[in-house]
Amino acid sequence: MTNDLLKRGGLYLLVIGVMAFVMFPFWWMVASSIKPDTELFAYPPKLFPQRAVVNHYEDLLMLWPFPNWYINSIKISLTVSLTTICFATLGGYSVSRLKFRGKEVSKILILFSYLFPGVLLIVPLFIIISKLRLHNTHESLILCYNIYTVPFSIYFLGAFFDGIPQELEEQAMVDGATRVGAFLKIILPLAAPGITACAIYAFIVAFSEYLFAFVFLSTDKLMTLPAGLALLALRSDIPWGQLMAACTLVSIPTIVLFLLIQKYFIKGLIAGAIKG
Amino acid sequence: MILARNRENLQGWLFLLPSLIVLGLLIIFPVVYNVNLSLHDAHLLKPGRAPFVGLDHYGHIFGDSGYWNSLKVGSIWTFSSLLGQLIIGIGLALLINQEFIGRSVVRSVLIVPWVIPSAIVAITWRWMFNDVYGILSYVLISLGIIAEPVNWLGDTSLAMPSVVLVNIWRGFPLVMLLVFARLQTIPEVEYEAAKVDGASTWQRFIYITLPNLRGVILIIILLRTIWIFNYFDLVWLLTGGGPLDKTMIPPVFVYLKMFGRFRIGEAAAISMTLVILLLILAIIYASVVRRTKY
Repeated sequence: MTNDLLKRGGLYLLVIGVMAFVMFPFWWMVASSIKPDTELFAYPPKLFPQRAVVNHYEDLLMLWPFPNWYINSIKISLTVSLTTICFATLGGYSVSRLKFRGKEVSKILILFSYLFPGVLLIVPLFIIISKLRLHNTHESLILCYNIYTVPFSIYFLGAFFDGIPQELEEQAMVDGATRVGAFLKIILPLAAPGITACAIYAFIVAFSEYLFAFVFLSTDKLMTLPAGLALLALRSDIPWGQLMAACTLVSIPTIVLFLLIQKYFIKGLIAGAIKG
Repeated sequence: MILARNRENLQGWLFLLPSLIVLGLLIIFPVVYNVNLSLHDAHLLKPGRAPFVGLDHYGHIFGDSGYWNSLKVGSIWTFSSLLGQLIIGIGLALLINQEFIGRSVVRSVLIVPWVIPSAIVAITWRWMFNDVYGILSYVLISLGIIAEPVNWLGDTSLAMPSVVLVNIWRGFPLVMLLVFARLQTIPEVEYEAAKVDGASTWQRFIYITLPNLRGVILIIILLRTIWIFNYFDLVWLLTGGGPLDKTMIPPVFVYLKMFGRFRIGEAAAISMTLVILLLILAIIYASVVRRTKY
């Protein structure tokens, strides 16, 4: 009995330790964002702020187009999420139902897409984008982010569709539906968990992307959060208070939102693992 | 009947076509362009003049100690990050696979590092690593582990471990999730049967859990290696490649050649060699894996 109890105790201790390791940077981020400069740049640093001030948040909002960055990031990420599931549901379906080595195609597809680093693609892409007069636009990012999100999504949804028996759409087609109709009305609803997981994955990837955003966009107001924050972070005198305020404003809603939807994300992943 | 199957095949390809077009445009075309670029002496600030130089860049690269340094640094970076992410990711997957109070909360919290944009991760950790005001030094001093504040990102021997730590922190959730998803698919029945046969926890792990995880771990290793090797954001925003090129991983090396020295022809050649290197590694890996499959 005590052996079990010790094991339980050890488990909980481990859990707490790991949670602390994961959460501590966020604590420090928030604490730093409300500390006055005198405490922020004090040695030794204190874990808990003695006083709480909001001037870092005020400065951030006054000196930088932070709300624009926020809206831009969300807008772009949502759009990429949408385009990704459009491409990936079609692609995943074909890979799943295709008689001719579809599985191999999708595996090679992912491999090839991730083999080429962003720094390789960036110059040619920038030239293409400029020729299309799309430089310094959000459309250029929405277009390019699909490179990162679509291949894995095709692979994942392909595995998902594999788990949905072909008899279903065959039955529907015998009853008179077209393949496209069967796809839309029968297959897609069944694949909803996987599609949701893909959409969330694509959003996260697009939201986080830095290099393309930083290089393609030149107007402050148009920038995404990562690109905009880099403007603060790459200065010679880094405004740490404002930076921590910005990080807090991004992290807290992200964490809260993710905590709410993580159930769907994990469900989708597990469903994909079962079928894959 | 044959006609019907052909039409099905055609439909299948049609469904795939949009993705193929987009990816073709955004990947294949740039890569081909890049190959061409690597054969010219192209300069970012001199767009009109890019004389053909053939394989000159490649020859120059192989004699450049900076190039070999970045390969060495990149290997250390990739290997240690992967190891850390695997150990922590798999370990935690096993942990959250257990039943305990608050399991779903813990699960959600553990995914968070991956959900936060890498720029924010880098910036926050950089502040924590700060040599004077950083909290990390202070915590270790309070615990009695070190005596004085440490310049984590500025010290030549500490910079790489520091960025690897951040990469592990950032990257383990994905490994954890993929392994966890796979763990959930292992039927409880197998464990029950083994318990009835008298197998210990350790034996159950070795003979049931691990074999089931083999597939997903092998894929994770391949994809993660490529992905970590090519990962630009984190190191760039943490150290910019320094100090003294100690964290000059290949992506940062290429970036500086392009936007620091404006030598995009040379940078293109460097990235081509990286791709070839990764491709060779992937092929070797795949054949080794296939050969050891029984």
